[in-house]
Amino acid sequence: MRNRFSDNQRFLILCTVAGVLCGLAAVGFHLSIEYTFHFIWDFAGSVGAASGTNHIWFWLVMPFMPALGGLIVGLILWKIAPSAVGSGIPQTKAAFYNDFGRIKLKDGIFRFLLGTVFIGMGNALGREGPTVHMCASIASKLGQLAGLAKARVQAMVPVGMGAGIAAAFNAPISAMFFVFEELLSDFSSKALGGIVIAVVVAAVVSRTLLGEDPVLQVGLSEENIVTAWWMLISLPLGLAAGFIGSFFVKVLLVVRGRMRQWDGLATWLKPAAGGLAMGLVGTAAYALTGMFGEGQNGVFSIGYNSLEAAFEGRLIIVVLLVLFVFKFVAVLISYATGGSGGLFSPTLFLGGMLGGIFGWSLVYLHSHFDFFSLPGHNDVVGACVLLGMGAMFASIVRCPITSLVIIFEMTGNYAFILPLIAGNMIAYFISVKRQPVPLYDSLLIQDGVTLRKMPSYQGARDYQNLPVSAIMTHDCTTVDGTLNSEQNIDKLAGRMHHGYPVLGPDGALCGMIMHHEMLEHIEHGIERPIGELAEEQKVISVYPDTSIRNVAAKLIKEDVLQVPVVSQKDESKLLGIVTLHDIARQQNAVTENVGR
Amino acid sequence: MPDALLTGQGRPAKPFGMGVKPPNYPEGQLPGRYKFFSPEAWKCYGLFIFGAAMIGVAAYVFTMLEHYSEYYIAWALGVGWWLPFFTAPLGLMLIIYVRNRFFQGTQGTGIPQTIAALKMGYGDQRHYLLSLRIAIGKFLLTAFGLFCGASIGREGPTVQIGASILCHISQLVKFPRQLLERGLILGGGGAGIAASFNAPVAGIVFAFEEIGRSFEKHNATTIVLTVAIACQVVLWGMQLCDPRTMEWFNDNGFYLFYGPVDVTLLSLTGWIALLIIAVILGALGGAFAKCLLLLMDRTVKLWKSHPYLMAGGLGLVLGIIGLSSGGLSYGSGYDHAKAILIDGAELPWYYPFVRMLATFATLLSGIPGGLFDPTLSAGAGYGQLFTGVFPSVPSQAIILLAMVAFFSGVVQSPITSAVILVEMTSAYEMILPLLIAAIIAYEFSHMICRNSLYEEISETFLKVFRERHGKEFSS
Repeated sequence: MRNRFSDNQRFLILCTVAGVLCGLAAVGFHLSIEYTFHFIWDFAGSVGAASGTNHIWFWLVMPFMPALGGLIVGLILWKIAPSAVGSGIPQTKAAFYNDFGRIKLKDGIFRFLLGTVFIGMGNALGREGPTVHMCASIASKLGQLAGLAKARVQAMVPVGMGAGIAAAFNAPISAMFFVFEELLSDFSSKALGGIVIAVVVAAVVSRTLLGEDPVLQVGLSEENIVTAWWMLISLPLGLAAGFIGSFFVKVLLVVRGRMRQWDGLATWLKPAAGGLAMGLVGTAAYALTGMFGEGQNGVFSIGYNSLEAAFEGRLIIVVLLVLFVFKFVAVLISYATGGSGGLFSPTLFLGGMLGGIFGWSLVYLHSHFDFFSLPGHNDVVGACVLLGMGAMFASIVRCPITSLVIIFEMTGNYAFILPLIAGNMIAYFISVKRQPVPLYDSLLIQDGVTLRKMPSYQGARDYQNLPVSAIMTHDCTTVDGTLNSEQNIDKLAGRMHHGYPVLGPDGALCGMIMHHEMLEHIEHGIERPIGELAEEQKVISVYPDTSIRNVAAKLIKEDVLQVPVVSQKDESKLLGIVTLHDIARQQNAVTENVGR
Repeated sequence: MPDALLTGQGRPAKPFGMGVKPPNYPEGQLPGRYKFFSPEAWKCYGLFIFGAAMIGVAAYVFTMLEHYSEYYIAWALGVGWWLPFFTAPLGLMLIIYVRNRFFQGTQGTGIPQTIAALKMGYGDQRHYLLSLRIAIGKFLLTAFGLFCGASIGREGPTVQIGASILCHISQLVKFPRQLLERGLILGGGGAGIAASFNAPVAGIVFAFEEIGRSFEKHNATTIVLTVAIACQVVLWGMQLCDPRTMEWFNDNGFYLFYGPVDVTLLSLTGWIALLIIAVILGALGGAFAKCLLLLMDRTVKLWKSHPYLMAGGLGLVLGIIGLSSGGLSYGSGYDHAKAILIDGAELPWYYPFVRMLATFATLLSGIPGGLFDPTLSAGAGYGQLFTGVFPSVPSQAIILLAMVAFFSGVVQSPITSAVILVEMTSAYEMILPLLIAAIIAYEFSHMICRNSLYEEISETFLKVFRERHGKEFSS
């Protein structure tokens, strides 16, 4: 094979194979989650039916299902596959930028299993993030097995990512855009061919197995749509989605940060506790919605059936409100306690509910006050659900073009494309203003991973206003303050830098020392431990949320080349280091982005 | 290279707007235009929205003119075969004269020129390609060309007009740097495509795939906004007066360029047909582009020595083609494509060939005018031929596949081709077959014509431009 095909041809063949495998994996994942949840739900239902007319056992069993899922997932995450936690998209990005795109197949396999257990048992997370990680691992493994060059293995990651999204959403065009917007953030024409092929193949596989229909069945009529009118409607909706979306991201990050630091529960028990809370929330939502008609189990698991019901206008405003609030809480709990699942479908769900609430309020306003005339058809609610989904996606996931195309491809409804643009852009701009670092990058920063590239820099405001935690090096090389210079230099072999933070015996930061200072110490025969030497100097440090601009000013003013980044609560706790080089790389990345 | 042009010796570098002093603001303070509620910022937004709306207006007026030109041609053919036969060469000569006299830089389809302007980098030299003078000239000459019976589309000129309008606006106020350098041109170009065909997503894709040749996240929002505003303005225009029905003040809030097509490709025969159509028409499209490029290279000298003779000769060729096909080859071909695709009309078997020949002659003459409409129309004509070969497959599916394959073969932008056809017909079920056909056609076209048509023309253009004006800018 090596002789018969050129390198490029081998890559394209591998992309085709990756497309088939990723398509199969994504479809399998989709089906296994769906069947697991159906099984669980029917099981709880039958237990409830057996217990008598008031279904007491149903209410007792259902909250424990997500908890059981959480327990299993927590145990596996704790000991066997710690990298399968969370959404999967941050992990994929980290692997692409920091690890030359090498992802273990093990991660992919556990993604499949854990996702099935966690989401299938009813936890309120989505399947798209795990699909992306799973497919990227398949593609990466394929590249490694075929003995591709390092750069080609790296190029297999976006291929797998695109194939995963294309198959999960049955949406080839938005899959391409998502890869470019989220992962690559600029075109590399070499990768494009492979991505297109894999995306198309995966979409064909998904359509062959699951049918031609779009993911969401929307019965909106496309006759006589006055787009100008709908654009007007989509503006306030975009405004609301922008604020709520950025609020969601903020709360999610805060809760997740708190949860990670909290040591009242063992790490492996947290998902189980989260599952229990989530189960209670979900059951409560089911009970509450049951009072106003048919009970909705949309808070559990993926919940697209409730979304479809909202599209058809079958849910009244109270039900939508309940679903929105409970889903919001449930997603926060499930994600923050460290479960395994993504944020795509929760985002769409929340947006859909928000749009539905908005649509019903319009209908009520119209029927009670008659301020304005509604368009001549009765699909107001459904159209608002569609616009809300797009706006929420734009404000949380923050990929403006993907957010347009994905709604179009998921629902097969083209006529609303212009109102969708209006709402999505408003939501996107508000979200950018309120939250300078996008969701997935913030998650990575919280995990202490630095991407070896410019962190997403968005909007007209320059990069210098980003917090320094976005560019600092988290895993810096330190020296031991209890040893002297000579011993430290010996220990540092192979990891030489310009300067090092000095850590005391208890791991507390006691100062900085330069490499050349240590060499001078050796030359002059100074044998004192460097901890003592370093303490004689003033320590200059910054906090993780200091802006890059202020850090640069500090570096120049104090005439140093690097400063340690320390925790705001405990100034002796070292979090990382930021060097002039980090800032220069940033600046370079910005200028390179601007040029052709 | 462009940077050298910008910061060449003896010439002060001007990174921020022409003749505007570089910003000088205290350290740590943002310039006013970055603040949301500052007057500078709102001036920026206001002018930007105005510019985008103007692109929409230009696209709409073009649509109107195109339809009027079709009425005119039908009327002229009714008067007698000789009227278009003689107006074609005379009109072409007149266009060439006016172009050389007043509107230098308006030749060709407009897309390669926009690409070339983008490649030049930011600076004064862009004014040779993107300015209000160019926009006006392009508009008038293209419209006149349509009335002369040349086979031209209006998307290329709209692209250059759009880029020109936004480029002009960028001199009036300060915009962020990435917008000045690329974003506004990409946005204007994308909006040109989108407003011409009411295909917003295709406009966005085209801006990245063909004009910019790169995906830029920080320009994405600008492009999306420009496209949306321009499209909405066109829709308002359509509500004011729909040129296809001449209905004033109607309430059609949304329209599809060709009209709704609801068809799926399910059978095995359909997929075999896809393969055959994609290969044949992709290769044909590639051959078309290659021949065009080769002949353009060969005739450059002749154009310099005998411009009017060449224009008259090619006009005569157009007239002869029109005469021998009974008038089928005049105009943009939109009506013919629509008749084949939507109404299932039967056009003579030679229609796609005369359409291709007429387009070829028009493009060779270098008068302002695009090639999207004629190419799609010729593709529909080929599709009509293929429906006879595969009677068991729905004919609309075959025609769509043929259109996408030929178009992708000529233009070599597969994703744009698939998306634009879906947006013109809302045939969402066909997106995968269309995408696959476009990619196969692109691959086969690529074997024949290594570089894409637009890319190659823009390279030649830049080379000539640098030879002619290089001294001026590097001294």
